[in-house]
Amino acid sequence: MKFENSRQFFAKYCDPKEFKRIIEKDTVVQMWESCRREFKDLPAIIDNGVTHTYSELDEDISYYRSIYKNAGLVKGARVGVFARNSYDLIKAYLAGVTYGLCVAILPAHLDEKTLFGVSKMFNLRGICYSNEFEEKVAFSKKANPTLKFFKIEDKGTSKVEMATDLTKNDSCVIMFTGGTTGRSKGALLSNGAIMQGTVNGCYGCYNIFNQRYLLILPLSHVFGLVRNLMTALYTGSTLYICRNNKDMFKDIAIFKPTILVLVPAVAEMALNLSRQFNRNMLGEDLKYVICGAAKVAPYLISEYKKLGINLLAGYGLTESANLVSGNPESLKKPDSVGYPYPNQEFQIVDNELWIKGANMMDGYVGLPEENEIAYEDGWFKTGDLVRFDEDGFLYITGRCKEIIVLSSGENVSPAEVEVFFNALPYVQDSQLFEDVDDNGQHFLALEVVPRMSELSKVEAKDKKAFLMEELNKVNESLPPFEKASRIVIRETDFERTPAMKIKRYQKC
Amino acid sequence: MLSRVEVLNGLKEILISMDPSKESEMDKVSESTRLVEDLGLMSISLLYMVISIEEKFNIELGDVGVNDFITVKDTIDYILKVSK
Repeated sequence: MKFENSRQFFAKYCDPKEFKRIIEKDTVVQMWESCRREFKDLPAIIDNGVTHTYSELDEDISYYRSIYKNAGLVKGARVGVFARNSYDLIKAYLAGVTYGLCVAILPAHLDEKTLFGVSKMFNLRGICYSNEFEEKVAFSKKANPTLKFFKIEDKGTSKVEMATDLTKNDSCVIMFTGGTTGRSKGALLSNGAIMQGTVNGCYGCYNIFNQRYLLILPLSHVFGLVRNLMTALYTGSTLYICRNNKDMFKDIAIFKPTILVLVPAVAEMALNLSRQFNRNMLGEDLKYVICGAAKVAPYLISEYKKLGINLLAGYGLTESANLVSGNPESLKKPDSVGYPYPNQEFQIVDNELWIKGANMMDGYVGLPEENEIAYEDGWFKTGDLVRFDEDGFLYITGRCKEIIVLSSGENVSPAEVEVFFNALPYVQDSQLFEDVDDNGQHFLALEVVPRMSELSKVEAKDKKAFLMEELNKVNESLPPFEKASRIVIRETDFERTPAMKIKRYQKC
Repeated sequence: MLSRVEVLNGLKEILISMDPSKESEMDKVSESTRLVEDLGLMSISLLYMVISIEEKFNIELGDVGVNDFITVKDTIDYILKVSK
């Protein structure tokens, strides 16, 4: 299925004058040509107390391109950038992609051996790194003498122009992902894919140009790179870099962002801290929270609305340059991950979402066997179980590999059942899984993490008993094969992945 | 100047505000209690704790990461060090 009217769908949520300025581009070079021409003296990046305008950033990246040129790197060569979020990281990245290189933004937590392994797997020609990672790159320097090394803090010797012959098909970045099979790998994204993801990020907010963003997510995560950095630059906005996450609320108080890009766990933390210290930790100018990378609870959407902030949930993958769909109707359809963005085609096969589109990756780097699993007839198989409603809104109902096949032959999608329990305001998160008793009998079990901020408000003396009663009521309302035979209210949170998703139990 | 007991009690208040269901367990929390293994704190809750410490004690913890505190003792030591 195709959504021909997708762009028009999003038009009604945007200021008409600004909507005309949201134009699709083929390459980052095309985008940067516009940025440096239109936004010259506007502040682009604020880092460590220093404001860099678009013109200054343009000058710095044109100098930094000389480092790549002097090293003999040519169009298509792959370089890694290994640093924490900083102005210099952005400079090295933009210099690379506008010079025609393919830049792998490497997670800062990689150890020295993994860094070396990644440089081999991605076939990197060079690594740009920050001074603080000198020790971490020492092993790669010794083990791979052909690899070139550059400091991101360096300036370069002379100005070098942007590449003039890039097309949308030329490689742009390699992003780390666990992918649909759980093994770490690099998704190769073209200029066209990155630009489609960047433009998609413009849809859903009434005013999107000249906004103020705070950067909290790592740029090695596609949500940070595409929605937080690239869309901010595309729209002439200002990006304030939060150097230490513990300082995010101090940075918010200083900078007063208008848009925040957050994972749901941080969005919930901000709410709870605001309540605990009885003041608005989110800043008085905040209008939108773009929330993704994990499941967004409907509770969060309504709580943010009470503060006058629109929390927009979306759905995306590293493999899709982040954004597949976004939900500008999050109040009306809080369980949906939104309406599909333009230039994509969808197919639902056995309830699994398959995608083709301008935003899709060109495959995993150096892993033909993973690509074999990931694609069928050119369609990327997301591994996500979905449905569309009558208005074309998308809902995630589970993950393929999470499906529980009961001895009766019936299939249970845990996420589809959990949504009923998660709808209780006293439930922060839940997990339905298959367990086995001492007699070898398989059964469905449910574990629940309570939302104590809401549960503490109820009048019942025994709050745990109250919650158990509420959970039992939900359980009773389910079809027999989906009912949990054992319900446990947890004392602690679930173990989670770095993206804050629940690490699913594998008990059977 | 805060005493160790005052800091410990303040820390317990933060832990309760993060998860009111833990209130009954706070009597057992001592300086040797480990934040992750014994209290079940995850990366986001550690971040919550560090931010709350700065707010509650009105101090700047400097350039620490959420993984720099292993036990309650480490946390109290650091709070007392920066409150001087």
